[in-house]
Amino acid sequence: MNINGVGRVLVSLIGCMALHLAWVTPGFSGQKVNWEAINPELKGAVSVGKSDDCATCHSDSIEAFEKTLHAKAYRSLYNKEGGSSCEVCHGPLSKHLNASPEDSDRKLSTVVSFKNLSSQNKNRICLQCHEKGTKMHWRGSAHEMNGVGCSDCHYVMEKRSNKFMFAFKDSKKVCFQCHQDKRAKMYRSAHMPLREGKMSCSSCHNPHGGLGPSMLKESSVNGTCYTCHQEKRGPLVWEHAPVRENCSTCHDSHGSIHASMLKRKVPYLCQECHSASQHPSTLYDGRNVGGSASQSNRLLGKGCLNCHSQIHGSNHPSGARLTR
Amino acid sequence: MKQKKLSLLSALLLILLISPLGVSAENSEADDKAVMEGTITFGTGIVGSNNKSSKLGEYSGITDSEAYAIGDTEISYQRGSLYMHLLGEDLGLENRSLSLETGTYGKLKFFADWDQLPHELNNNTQTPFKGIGGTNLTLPASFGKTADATTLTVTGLDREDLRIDGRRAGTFGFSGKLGLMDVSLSYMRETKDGIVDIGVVKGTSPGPTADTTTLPGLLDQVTNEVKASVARNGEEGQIQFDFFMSLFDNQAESISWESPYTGTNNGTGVISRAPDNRFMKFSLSGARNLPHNSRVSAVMEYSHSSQDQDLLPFAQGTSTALLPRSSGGAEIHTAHFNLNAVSRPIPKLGLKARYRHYQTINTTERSLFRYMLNDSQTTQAGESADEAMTNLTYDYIQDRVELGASYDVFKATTLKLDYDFEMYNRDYREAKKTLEHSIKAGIRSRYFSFAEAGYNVQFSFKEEPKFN
Repeated sequence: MNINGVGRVLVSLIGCMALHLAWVTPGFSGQKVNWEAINPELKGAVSVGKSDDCATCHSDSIEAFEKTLHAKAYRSLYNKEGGSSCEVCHGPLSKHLNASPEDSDRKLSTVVSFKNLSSQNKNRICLQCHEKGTKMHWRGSAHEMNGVGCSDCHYVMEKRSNKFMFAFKDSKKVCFQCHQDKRAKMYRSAHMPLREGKMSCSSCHNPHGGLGPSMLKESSVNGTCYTCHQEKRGPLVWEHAPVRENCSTCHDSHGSIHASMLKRKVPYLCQECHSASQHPSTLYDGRNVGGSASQSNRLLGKGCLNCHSQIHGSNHPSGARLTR
Repeated sequence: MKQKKLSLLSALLLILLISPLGVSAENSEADDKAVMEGTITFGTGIVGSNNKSSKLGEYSGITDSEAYAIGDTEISYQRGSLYMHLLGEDLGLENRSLSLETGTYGKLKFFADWDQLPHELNNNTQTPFKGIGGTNLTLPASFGKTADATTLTVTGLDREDLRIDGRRAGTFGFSGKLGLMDVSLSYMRETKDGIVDIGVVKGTSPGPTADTTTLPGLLDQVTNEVKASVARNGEEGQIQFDFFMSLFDNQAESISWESPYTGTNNGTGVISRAPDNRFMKFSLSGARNLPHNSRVSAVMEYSHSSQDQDLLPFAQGTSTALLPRSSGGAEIHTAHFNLNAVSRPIPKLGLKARYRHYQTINTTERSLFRYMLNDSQTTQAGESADEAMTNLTYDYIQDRVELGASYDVFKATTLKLDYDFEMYNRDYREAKKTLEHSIKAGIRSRYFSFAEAGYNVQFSFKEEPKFN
């Protein structure tokens, strides 16, 4: 199997795109946000560029914000006081500041408040700085297309987590707001160390638009698994075809009630494919255990893996049947 | 071993503690007041358990009644834009982690991590084998070997806990700006050692006879990884190049074991373990904003994994000259291309199109391996025998097209419609080509902050595969 002509064309195209981007892209200044489109009341509003007036009413919020990574990074990058960064996310504030404190309707309508903003508009504001790196492919991702907003997972006005400004201290809680089925699986007996805090959902997934299946960070399921299970990468002389293609054929990575996070108990898992090949015509089940006349060592201990222990592939010259 | 671990950790900490001094020379806000804040938690904890249980502390190492130290820390130091952040969790347990980060907020970051992860597999395993922790397992002279397992009476059992100790002992690197480029570089060294259970077989099936045993097998692995990336992030477009390399070294590439059986399956068996492997990946990704709130992005990846481990003899004590080739000679190239186009022509309507091409190109050497008749015999099956087999180089190509639209029908309520087409083309498999079409529709509402509702329907059909 060789890379075909289409592949070469694609390679050329992406190369051209790379050169184009490298030469024509101006320096970083953040993608422009059309504030007027987000809030028509901001038509004609201009930036005031200072924080003092904001602190008059919002001192508590600003004080909490000052302790966040956002405030510190913004000040470091742009050498401005934290308060002036209000306008980066809340739009030009001249009209808001000029509105009479007694006219609360006018006050509220002349600022971009995240409380009444669509996910798309929230995201657009965040992406003016963050549309790069792992967030490069956010737009069009499953999360974006399902109306998930940045603020559904992150909270920027005060520090709630040690890293990444999550809305909850435990990053998994962020994901479990929607993915309750995965939370249930995580509590099964065979699980990865998520609930022990040694992994998080983002150890495998890129929630901002991973290009692998199910928003995985790597381009394939196996590629993701190999980041920790390097010994499984091989390649090997004797491959087990479904293993080479997708670890999820046999394993449920979110948790299982079977050892090694298998989807089924051995030998039933194996017999899903190997029902009529090798050890032919024998269906191993509960009738082959417990001292019955048809007792089989293929159901005891590690089941099929008593012999076929190299189920992920073998490098032994006599390992064709994955036994050595 | 413990002293070596501590030395490495000390070296990492020293590097990280020195690095802010270098950064401070560039600090334009040197007069800013230094602020140090954080928490240190320490104490002791006691676990009481009626029975030893590997599941109790599967990932913490506590499997029985014991006292342990509690230690957590989070300390931040800041002076102007300079910062240092130390985070330590579960320092008194075997799953401890310690990370240190320093640099200039948003501009430059140095980091180092130490992370341990025990995995308790079983705490009531018993075995008659001696030499556990090595690659040659023997039975005591007093062990009563028999013809097969049905007549075997196993005595002189030693208790051996099955457990893996994983350590990401040295992850360190930096990320920052170099002119207009964002650059990052990191190195990670991971070790895994321990004892795991391995099923082994003596003899062949089909063949004279086959008998199985479970070994307490040694795990002793080291992986070194390097990651590097260079990115240019602009107002209307971004481009990024990533490089990743992994070198896996297995210190226990095979395990030999003394058979507990007499007769045909007497003698010594050998089982292969994972070979050393190398992996490299090059990735180029880019994105460009287009008019009408549209964006196109693409990723192109090429990776290469290989191993060329010397092959074991086909049976214990036989010459490797009988093999069709002397080493694994296995390699797989992988190509991945992903193209996305998205648009939101009006605020309520989102459109997307995605194409994914993923292809493995397996160039592993193919040979006819004549099968052994028995682990201890020097005779191989003939080339025409059923047991002689050629190793197959499994490959597959995945092409996938996704088209989707979402429409915000009213506040916090989105209607979705998707069409996916997926084609798999596999080599050396029962079904060469499979085609699947899926149409999905759904509505999801979070109109009320306290509830979420959704309804999805999907219709899929597979075209009849063409069988090999």
